[in-house]
Amino acid sequence: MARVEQIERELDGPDEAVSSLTTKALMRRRMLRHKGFLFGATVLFSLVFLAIFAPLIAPFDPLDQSLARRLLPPVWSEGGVWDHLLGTDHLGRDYLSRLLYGARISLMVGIGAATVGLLIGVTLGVCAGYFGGWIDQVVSYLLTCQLALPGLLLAMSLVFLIGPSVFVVICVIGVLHWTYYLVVTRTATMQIKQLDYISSARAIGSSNSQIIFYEILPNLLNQIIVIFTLEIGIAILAEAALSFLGVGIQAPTPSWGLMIAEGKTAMFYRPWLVILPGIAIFMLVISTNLMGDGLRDVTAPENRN
Amino acid sequence: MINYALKRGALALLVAFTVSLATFFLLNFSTDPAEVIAGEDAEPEVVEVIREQYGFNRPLIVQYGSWLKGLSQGDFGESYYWRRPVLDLVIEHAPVTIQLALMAVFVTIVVALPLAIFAAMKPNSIVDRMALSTAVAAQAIPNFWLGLLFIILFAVTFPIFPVSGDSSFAHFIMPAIVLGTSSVPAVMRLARTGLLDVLSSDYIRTARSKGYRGTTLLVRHALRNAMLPVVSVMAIQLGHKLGGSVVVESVFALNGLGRLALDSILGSDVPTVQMLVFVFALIFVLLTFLSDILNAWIDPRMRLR
Amino acid sequence: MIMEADTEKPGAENTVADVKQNPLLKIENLEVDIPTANGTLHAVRDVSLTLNRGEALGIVGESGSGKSMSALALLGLLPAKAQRRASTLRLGRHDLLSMSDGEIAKKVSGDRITMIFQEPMTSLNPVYSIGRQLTETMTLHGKSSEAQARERAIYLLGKVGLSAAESRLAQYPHQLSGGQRQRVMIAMALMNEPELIIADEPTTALDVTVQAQILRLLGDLQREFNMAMILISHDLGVISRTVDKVAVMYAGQLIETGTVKEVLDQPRHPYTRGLLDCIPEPGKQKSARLGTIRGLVPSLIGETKGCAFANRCSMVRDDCLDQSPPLKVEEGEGSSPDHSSAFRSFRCVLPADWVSDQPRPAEETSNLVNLSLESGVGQQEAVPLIEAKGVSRRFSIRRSLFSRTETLTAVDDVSLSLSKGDVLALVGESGCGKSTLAKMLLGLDAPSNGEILFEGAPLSGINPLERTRRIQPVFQDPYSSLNPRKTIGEIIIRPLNVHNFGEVKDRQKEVERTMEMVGLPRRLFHSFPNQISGGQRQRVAIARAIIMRPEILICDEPTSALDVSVQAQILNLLQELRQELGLTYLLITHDLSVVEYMATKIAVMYLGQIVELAEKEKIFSDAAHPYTNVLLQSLLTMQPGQKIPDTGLGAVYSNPLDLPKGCRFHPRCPEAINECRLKEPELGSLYVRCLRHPLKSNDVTIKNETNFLEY
Repeated sequence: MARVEQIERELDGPDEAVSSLTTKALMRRRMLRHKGFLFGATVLFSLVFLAIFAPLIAPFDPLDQSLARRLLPPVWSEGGVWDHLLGTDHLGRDYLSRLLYGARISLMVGIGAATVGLLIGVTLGVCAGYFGGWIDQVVSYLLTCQLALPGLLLAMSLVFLIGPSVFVVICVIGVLHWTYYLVVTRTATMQIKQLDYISSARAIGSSNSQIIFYEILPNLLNQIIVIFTLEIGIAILAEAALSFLGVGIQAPTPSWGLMIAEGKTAMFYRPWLVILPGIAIFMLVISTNLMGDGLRDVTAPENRN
Repeated sequence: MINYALKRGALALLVAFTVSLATFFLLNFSTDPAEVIAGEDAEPEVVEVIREQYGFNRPLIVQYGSWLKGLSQGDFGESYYWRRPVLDLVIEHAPVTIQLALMAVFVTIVVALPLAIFAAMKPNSIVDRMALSTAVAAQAIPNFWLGLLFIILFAVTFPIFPVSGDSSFAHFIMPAIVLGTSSVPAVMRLARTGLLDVLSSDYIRTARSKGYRGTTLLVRHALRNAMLPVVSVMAIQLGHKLGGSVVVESVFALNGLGRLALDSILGSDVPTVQMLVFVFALIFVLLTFLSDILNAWIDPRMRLR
Repeated sequence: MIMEADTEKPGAENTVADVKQNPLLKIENLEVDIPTANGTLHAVRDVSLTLNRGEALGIVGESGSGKSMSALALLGLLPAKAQRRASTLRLGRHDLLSMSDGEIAKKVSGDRITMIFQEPMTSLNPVYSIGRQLTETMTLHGKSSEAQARERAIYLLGKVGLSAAESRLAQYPHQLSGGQRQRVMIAMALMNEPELIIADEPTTALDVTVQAQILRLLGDLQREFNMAMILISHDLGVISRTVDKVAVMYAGQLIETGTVKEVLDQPRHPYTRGLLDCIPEPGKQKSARLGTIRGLVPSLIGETKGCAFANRCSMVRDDCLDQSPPLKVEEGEGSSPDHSSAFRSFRCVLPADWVSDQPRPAEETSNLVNLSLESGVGQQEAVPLIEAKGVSRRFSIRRSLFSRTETLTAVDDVSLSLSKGDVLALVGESGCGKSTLAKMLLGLDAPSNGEILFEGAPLSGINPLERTRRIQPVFQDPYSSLNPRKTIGEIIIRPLNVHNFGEVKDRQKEVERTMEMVGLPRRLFHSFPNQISGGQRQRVAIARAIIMRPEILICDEPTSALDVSVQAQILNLLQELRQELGLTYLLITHDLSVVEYMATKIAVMYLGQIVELAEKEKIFSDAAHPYTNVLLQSLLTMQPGQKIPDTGLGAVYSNPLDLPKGCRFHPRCPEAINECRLKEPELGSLYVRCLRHPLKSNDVTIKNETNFLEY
């Protein structure tokens, strides 16, 4: 009967624990198994590293012109030289250096605009979802109006009319890209608000701000991070489009979109001038998207589809 | 049902005017039209005279009122840049953009919907994985860059399509494909998710217990339900196509509304930009209004509202 | 019950000899495996069953026992990745094992076997009309023309008790109530005259009164059409009233089978016995504590050794741990004469009569023998602890920005009071306003009319922190009442932090003391809610509610989301805490058996009003209001062989936005007279809101008076 007694001892508590893993441990395990997430995170962090240390890594000053060395092809093409690994542009500036510095602009705009959008969208979304009533109706109306705005057109007009600069680009793109945050946080807050733990919090005397900051926001955090990551990609693409059209970042600042526009004139005989910055944008955006999608899978596998 | 339509219609109009009001203020805060008309290096006195003459010294809300008044009398204002009535400009440029947008939406539907259905029928299969990875990749490609690659590939290396211009139907094929692909990921993902949700619902289980399987199940019980979100998103996408054609029109040198918008912005032509934003917003609310009505027709639950 | 099917339907394809020898359904060694990220889940293990024509079988078990999976496996409706194995799977002449999924869909599913599911609200397709969904069942199998199908649909809609059957065809599901939708589901299941109908928890999502009606209907139709039926349920009361034979499932295995009488009266397996002891049964419960089953259902992932129930069994022996006990078959009432389908069986090493001969474990383990369940003695004169006086709550409902506002009266002129030590049960169907009333008593919502007094002072005038310290809630769903991102310790300590009680160090100690009180092991302090079981979660919720030592606990359906064995544990805990801390309870529930076990007073609500309020004993022995009577009759206690009574309740569902004139209950009342249509009854001094009540009580005036004198 010794083993039976052992069972009796183990069953001291009313019932046993169901899972031995904490939420965080589960997440860490899922992250390390998610290929898309790992790839996205690796590429993104390498690009961030390159952007931060661009002054140390770049072989040339991105603004240094050398008319004697104009339009050199990359080193693997015929006529390429080792000095300029990725060739030079129409003013003889080193393309690799410009690309490295361009990463800074893209990342700055991406992260900056995504943050501006986050502040607007999450504030409105949580307020609308939590307080409901007329606040919700006003916010929903704002959302409908925002969706009806031709975003790119308005962004172009505002950036150009105010006067293009990195700061203006960040603010305008951010101010026009908060709907995704709003929709998700509003719905999630409305759902959480129905749950009994919010009623419990109210029944123990928590104030509205205690409920929002202690009970609701921690539960929105994962979703907000996911949207933030995806919005970085969207903002980077928007900046590239603005700069490409000539109403965003202005020459001679190295921006990838602008570099494509400058390369366009020579693209039929120097296609690399267009292809390389495009690949750079693609890699950066796909890495943020993969990371965002991966984070969603990892934090909320039930929302996978 | 008619009640519902009337209510939605009224809301749509309200949104369009709110948007025009917001645009009016934003644009007039960003720039001083008097200075634009006077030109650079103009004497302050000249600017002041212009301000007086055009009524720019009135409060903004009064100016907006007179803009609205003009609108109600069919006076859409006059372009500072082209010195022509804005209405003529819009009518002149609209056909190109409308044709482009319709073709692009056709491309989106033809690519996204079958892909979504195949993917949802066999989740996690090879088709599904491929479709999802393609979507992730397609979302990361800047579409102006894709346009340039298309030109390099299909107009120069393999001269299948004309490089640029809008004189024949063939001119529209590449731009429509480029513009259409940009919404494929969003529509495909949404349709796939919608269909998966429907397929995992209780009523599909009921239908399966009745003996429905495979295509019959899909056609007789799932598609109509899964259509609902797709109809809404297609309307939104068509609206965005019109507003987002700026980039593609610029790449392929199509002389549509996007081109007009870019030129007006570069010329700081506030009345034209203001009008274009309003027109795009109006088209957008009209489309979402139509999709609401269509959804109410599909879903009996919505008719009650 | 005669098990041989000699009432063969004309037109069926089986020969008479075939029928005599073979049961309708034969399942042998059915296994269902579901691959998961953590290994293979053995959802169904070695299930063998036989079912004769016209016979009703109940499959009973707690959540996750594999009861639904076994049924779904028959029709190929398992989850996509699941694998099914069996040595025999046969329905009449159809060998389901050798048929492809397509063939089953064509010939069996929806035709020979039909199903009724749990969720009537979501089981019908919202975008198609009722008529289309009914007729397609026939036309899909090429049984008939559209017109014939339509005719049959109208006939069956009448059969299942839906009025104006023909006009129903054009309606959409959202226009029907839950009970009506389930009737449509039943009609749909009957369209093709199936041989077997599988009902998977068909009434779990419905109100008790509707449950009784639907089950009665289902049983009548099953006998009338001579179909076999499998009824899957977690509710032993339901099972005992509706089926002939029962199979008990545990951890994917059949652990006991037999006729309802055999299994429920003479359980052979310790698990069956345990389940029976857990259920609070009116009149049957002698000791104050309910029996419980300790521990948790074992994980079904991977290989298991020994008896699946060994870790929870109170009669466990050493050899239980080593080998899985074989299924012992014995001759029983339900066995067919040729012995091929002997139905009395159980899976336990103990001798046949051992289990049923054991004394009730509750009597030996109870440490609260003299638990007093009387209401607060001698407190009647004093000021009640909390009191509602003519409380109403109206909501303005506006469906959209433009539509006009309608008024929903959720609570209408409710008066009640709780004295110290009371357990007042608030009983009523969903939507009757009981949760709104609870919210107002908690102070989370304010009445539109009337007032709530706490110790004689208006509740709204009391400082919110003071109020929340003294009145605390316990909610229904332990999965949504705990914030998933906080640890158990953080959740329980939170009230102390919000109220800034004492030193931080002392708070920690207080949490540990409270955890011990509610029976939570200390090691769970740093666990997250997703790591603990449903019962433990409810203990955490209770710990959070009592940590500030409140005086009143308002429990909103505290056990209805839990399995019976866990429900018993929580009910025991609530009783113990009431003694230890001198708590007063307001218990909101739809489950009259819980009420019988817990309450001292009962208030019955219908459409926002209290229709009857009395001592528990009075309600259970001599209920005055017709609605209370209907509720009591709808309570399906475990009585094998006894049928479900006809409550006489009308199938009219009143719209809360458009209340009926006169007495609110008259459209459904079995005893309504003409006067009820015209005049709204008052809640009289006897706390019964019924026009007919004075007449009734006149008949027994003398008896009442003597009773009164005795008081």
